[in-house]
Amino acid sequence: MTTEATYPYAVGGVSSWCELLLANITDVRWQILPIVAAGTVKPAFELPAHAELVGRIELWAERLPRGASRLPRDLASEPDIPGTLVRELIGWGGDMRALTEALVSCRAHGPRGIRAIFRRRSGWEGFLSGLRSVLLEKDPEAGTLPDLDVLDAARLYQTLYWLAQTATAATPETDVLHVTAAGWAGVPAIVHKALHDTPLILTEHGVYVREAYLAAVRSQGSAGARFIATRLPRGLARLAYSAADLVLPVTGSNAQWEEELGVDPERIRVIYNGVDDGELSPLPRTGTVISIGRLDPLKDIHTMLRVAKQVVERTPQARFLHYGPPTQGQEAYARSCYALHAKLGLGERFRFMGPTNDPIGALEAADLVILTSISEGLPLAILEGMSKGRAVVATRVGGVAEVVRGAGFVAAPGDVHGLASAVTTLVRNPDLARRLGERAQGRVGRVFARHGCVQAYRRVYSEIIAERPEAPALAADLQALAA
Amino acid sequence: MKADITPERALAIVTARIRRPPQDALEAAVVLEAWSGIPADQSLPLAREVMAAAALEDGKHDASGTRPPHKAAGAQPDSGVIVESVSLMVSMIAVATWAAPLGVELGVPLIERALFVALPLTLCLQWALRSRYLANPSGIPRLRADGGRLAALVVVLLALPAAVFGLAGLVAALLVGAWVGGTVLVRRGWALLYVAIVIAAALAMASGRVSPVVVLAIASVITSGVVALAIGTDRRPPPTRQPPSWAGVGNAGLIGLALGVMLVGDPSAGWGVHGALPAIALLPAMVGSLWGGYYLWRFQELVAQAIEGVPVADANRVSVTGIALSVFGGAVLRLAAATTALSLLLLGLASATGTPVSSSSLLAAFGCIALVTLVASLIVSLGFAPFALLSVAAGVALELVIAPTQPPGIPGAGILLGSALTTLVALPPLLIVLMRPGRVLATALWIR
Repeated sequence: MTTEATYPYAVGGVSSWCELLLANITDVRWQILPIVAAGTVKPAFELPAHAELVGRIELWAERLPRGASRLPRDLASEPDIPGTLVRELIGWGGDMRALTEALVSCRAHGPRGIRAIFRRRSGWEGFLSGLRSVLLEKDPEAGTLPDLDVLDAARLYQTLYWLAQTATAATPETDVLHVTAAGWAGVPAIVHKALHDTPLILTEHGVYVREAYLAAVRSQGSAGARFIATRLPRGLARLAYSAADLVLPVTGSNAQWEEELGVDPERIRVIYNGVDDGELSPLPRTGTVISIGRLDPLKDIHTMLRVAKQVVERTPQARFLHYGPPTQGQEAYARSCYALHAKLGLGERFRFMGPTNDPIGALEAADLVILTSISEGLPLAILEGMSKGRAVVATRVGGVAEVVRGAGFVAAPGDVHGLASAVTTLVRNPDLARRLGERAQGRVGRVFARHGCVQAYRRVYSEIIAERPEAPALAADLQALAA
Repeated sequence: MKADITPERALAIVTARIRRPPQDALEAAVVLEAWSGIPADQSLPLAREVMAAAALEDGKHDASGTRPPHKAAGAQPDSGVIVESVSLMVSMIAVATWAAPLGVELGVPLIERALFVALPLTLCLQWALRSRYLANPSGIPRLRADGGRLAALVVVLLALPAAVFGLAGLVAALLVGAWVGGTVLVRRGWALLYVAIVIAAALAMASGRVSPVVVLAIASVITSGVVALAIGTDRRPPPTRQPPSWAGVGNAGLIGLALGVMLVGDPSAGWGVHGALPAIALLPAMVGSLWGGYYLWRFQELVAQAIEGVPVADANRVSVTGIALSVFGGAVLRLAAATTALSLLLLGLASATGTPVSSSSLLAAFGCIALVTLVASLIVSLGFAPFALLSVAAGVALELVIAPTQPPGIPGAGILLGSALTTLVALPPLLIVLMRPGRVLATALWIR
């Protein structure tokens, strides 16, 4: 299983899902290969006995790469890895087979060989040539391409260097490759699959590309910076989709994006996240509204604060509790949330509670659950709230509407008035909240039970191993290339 | 499913939300989904039509977006750099005055041997510490994290000379402790405290009431204690990035060692023989080196700023007047100007006061070593540390080979020839690299 900035080093929805699989599928030997930013030291999760870390890929590290260089002495035979990466990964219609071959070539050269290639003049010039050809592409859907400058190009070159280093990471022998995000996490697994024809499955919680575009839109950076920040994830997602034998979104709405980026619908199978069938706990009827999630722009906490402002003005007994830490790297956003909280004068009526180890306990103390995200897959916080019989007020993003159906209210993202009206209605009518909560719990038991989720993954693992073809031609070609 | 909204209307919504036309169809889809609540099955096909509508509108809008000016984190030198520089100079003068009383007490040959060991070892440790700890803001917390094993390593390094050279080695170890400790204190921002320790020791030695060796030992121990306190009381958060590898630290240490050998490898310099004079003669070169190095500090930031806005088509244009060469040239000019001016001033003062100064050739030799240090530092920062080591080693080898046959009339001739060879070896490849600022940033500065 390959992870990216999640399990076992960071808490969050994807990590909880990883933990769920590892805890419930115990007859499998799990090998975890995480990708983390340099300097990430402490794991947030303890691995069970049947799981092990089989390495750790650190990006943006200052230290020199280790391992032997297998750079060809004959410069003429040196592969144009930087040029191929930029053409096929950043280009709108890049060739995924050529890209895979380039990544396999990275593995063949090893970390020091890749460093040598990227530090050479020929590497830089191959990259520039590839980039110029990308910038000349014409495609109506790709819009008007920006005028990149040399600084943008240098930044992209550096990023591709780290991507190539990621491709060099050693991967152990394994029966199934399970990739947990259609981004950097796919790279070592895709190389492994190309070399050994190991089956590869991809689970997408959020949609990698959509979240990258959202971040780029919010960044207000230059057109060049935005171009790089979106084209790279788009290329990585296309690569992961092309390599995956099965794409397993956690909600049907993600599948729309996956089809848009070229996944054959036959290879898509929705597996919902699962939670425990919780026991219905009585509503405290204190007007407590709870939210669980990181302080992150994707969660749109600003909208939640504005909703709270409207609700407490209408219903004096209402109070909001938000559980969750700031996302690493989004500390500035967290500060902006605290500032808005102060500006709106919410005081104790909206409290930032920080991270919690007992989300179920927190949910039991609530009358309803709120979520104001602008991007989601299938949020566990909502599922867990529903499993305890709590009604939900949420934004209509990702798989939220699919989950909440009949168990609460949904509104458009950023619709402060709509969300506040729904919360006010439920706080003022606890009996309605209770009835919706009972429906919610029933729905979780029928559709989103932990057992069903785990069994679905078990079936996928069994099927995909059973269907493994013999002596694949591409793998043989690529093994020869790597040798 | 088809959205109940026209592409033109959707384009207007997207443009209003992001204050520019969409970059591509996916961006349009994301904006429609995330901020207008249009589900993916409708927003994705609608976005394709939006791009067709946007193509009709193309040319009416500025699609370039805003470009924030490039700012390299941590590229600015510390605000206390002037204090650091002045402190180092004052310390240097004070330390130079230690040589005479130590020589009187222990004898010139012993002090000469001690300095031969202490100078290379000090430069070795200073370069090594700078490469891993002192070159960035997270260095001191990182030093704290490595404290135990590092202290053990330093103790071994200092015990070795004492074991090999006896009393001369012990004196060398004490000198190294005082000098290297000063480097850490200056980086920690405790420069004035270090200056106070060094001046107090100089005054105590000059007074003649206490044995100079005892004073040196006390100064070295106090400096070490203060260093431990300075590191221990630093409350900055621990570093989040992996430090440079120990191999890189070793390489830097070897470059420092080679520079130190270059400094003492020429017997005509007269370390320990002429009291404070060789150390005082180092002062102009040191000031020049500080000024040049200060200018070079912003090298990476200035190169990045200079290539911002340059079209990709011009990425490989060779420029002898480009920013990278200009910054390097500016640093060299500052070094040369300061060294020359201060050397002339020193010669003038010496002549006016009748104080014997070794020679103008020695001042020039020290200036050349400063230039070699500057060039080697830049080469290391570009990620070519082994080449820097090779260049310096070539110069040292030449100096050591000609040392026995050196004409007595030109003090510092060995240093001059050695540093000239190093410069000849290192400079041409460096200049070629610097002529292409875009490439140097992409392939050397950002890929280490």
